[in-house]
Formats: sequence, C-alpha cells, structure tokens
Amino acid sequence: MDVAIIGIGLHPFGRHEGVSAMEMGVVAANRALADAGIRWSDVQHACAGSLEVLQPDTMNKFMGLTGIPFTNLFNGCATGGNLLLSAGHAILAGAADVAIAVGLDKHPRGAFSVGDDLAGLGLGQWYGEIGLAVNPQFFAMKTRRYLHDHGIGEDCLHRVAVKAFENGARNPDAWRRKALSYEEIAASPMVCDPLRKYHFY
Amino acid sequence: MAQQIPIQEGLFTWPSAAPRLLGSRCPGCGEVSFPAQGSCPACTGTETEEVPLAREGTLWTWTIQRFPPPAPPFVGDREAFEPFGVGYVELPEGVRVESRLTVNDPDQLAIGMKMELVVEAFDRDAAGNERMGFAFRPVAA
Repeated sequence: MDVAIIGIGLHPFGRHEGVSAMEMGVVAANRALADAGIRWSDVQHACAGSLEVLQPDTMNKFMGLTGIPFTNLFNGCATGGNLLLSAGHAILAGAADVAIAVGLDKHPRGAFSVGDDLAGLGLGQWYGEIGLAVNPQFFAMKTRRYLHDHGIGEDCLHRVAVKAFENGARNPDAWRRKALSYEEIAASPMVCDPLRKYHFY
Repeated sequence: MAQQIPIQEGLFTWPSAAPRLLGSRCPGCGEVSFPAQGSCPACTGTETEEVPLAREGTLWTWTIQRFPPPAPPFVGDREAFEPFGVGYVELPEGVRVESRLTVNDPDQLAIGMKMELVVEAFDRDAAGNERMGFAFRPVAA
C-alpha cells in the first residue's frame, strides 16, 4: 500500500509574543486540513510531538473531541521524522485511512540545556558537569570530521548559510527573513569551531 | 586536609602517576567501550570485562567550546568562563573517547595529531577538595 501526504500547513516560525506553542500547532493543523480539503472529523489517527509542550494531544479540545487515538512522542531533533513515520505506520497497519502528524514548539533563547539529570539520557552526571553535554559542540565535531573526510573547506559552510538565508528571505513562514552576505556570515562570531553564529541562527 | 577526588568513580585509575581510562571489552567480539558498560553495543552481548585503555591516541575531531554551557548540568564558572577544547580521541583499542582538551587554541589542534591522557583538577567542591577530571593534551613533537 502507498501512503501519500495530502496536505501540509505551517504557522510562521518564531517566538511570537502572546501566542503559545499549542496555539501555533492548532493553526498549523487547521492549515494542513484546509490544504487537504478535509475536516478534523475526517482524521482517524493523530500524533504530535514537542519539547516544550507537556501533552500536545490536549490540542484535541481545540480541534474537536472526535474520540480518535492521539499519540504523543518525543525523539529530540528527530521528533518530526518520527511523527511522520508513526502516522504512516497507522495507515499501513490498516488502523486509519487519514492520519495527521503535528510538531509544535516555542523554545527559550540560547543553546538547549539537557537539564540536571543526565541519567535520563543514559549518561553519567559528570559528562554534563564538565561541559560535554552541549548540542552545538557535538554538531561542530561532526562537521569538522565531515569536512576533513571529504576535503571540503570551511567556505562551503558560509555558502550553505548564504543559500539558506536567501531562501528564508523569500518564505513568509521562515524564522529568519533577511538575506545575509557571504562576508557577514564568514565574519560572524565563532560559536563552536568551525561553526559560527550565522551557521546556526 | 583538601583532597583530590575523581569527578566520577570508575572513569580512570586514580591516584596514579600514569592514570588510565577504564573501559569495558566484550569477550565475545572484542568491542571496547568507554565509559565501561555491562553490555556490548556492537554484538549485543550481555557480559563485558573492565579494561584499562591506552594513554595515547590520535585526535579524530575537535572543536572549541566558546560559550558557557547551560547550567545545570555544567558546574564550571560561567562568569569567568574560559573557552575550552573538546575532541574525540581515537585509541588503539578502536574506541573514540569524547574528552576535554588541555588547549583551546585552534592553531594547536589538527585531526590526526597524537594526544595523551592527563588527569587535572576541574573545580573544587564546597569542602575545598579538588575535583579531578580527565583531558587529552597534544604530545610534544
């Protein structure tokens, strides 16, 4: 059996003042339904994921209490991909003809904190205490090795960022909507070598 | 009297003039892990044995942590923060160990360079004891 994406929706990305993550999720879900030309009552299985929202399934009181299974899942940066997988599996299993996957969040500024209990990540507390449990650090080291293995220069990172900001400037839903020059990106402060501020931003 | 206390028991031999990291080896397939764990991530075996790891390896990748890590869990000084090096050091046993580095100057770091283990004071506890952590430093050419 084939599974097809029949509608997508997005709330503009950002820390919008006075708008909760769940409210943004509801807007996105309704836009996806409108895009597909269906109503919430046509959806037979839902799954949602968030870092900041404790129980995203409670958005069903805004969408409609239709009695469908509504699963919450969280897999860090892979949450969105796993939501799609989960919705697709519900269809492949024959449990639903139409399923929806909703990702929603509103993070505070700054690098993510892994919190004060690393046992929940299968790690010793010492690992975080000495400053090793930091996301940008991890991605910087992966990037450094990738550049090394494939003979790629750091200038390539600047060019990727130029492309991303250019696309953002054209997209009304994007997080950053201002194009930046190669020079601005290359001169931005180093965060975790070789990654600079505008490689993340 | 103030003492030197390892940041975590079982991570490395201490006190020692030539400290070694303590890993685990799977008797079934030979896979080595650090920190030591009771099962094998390679062959799914459920028994391992403790093994002291080589003190020298090569730098597999690196970065400089230039902003104070979020606290918690970081317990270092965030006000007087000094950027520090972090890397993966590949040991002869095949395991790559993620570690702080003793240098934070990009010009002194390169993939493939030889590194050796040191145990150094990371901070002090409330009683004034030095808390000892491990790091790797470049081997003088």
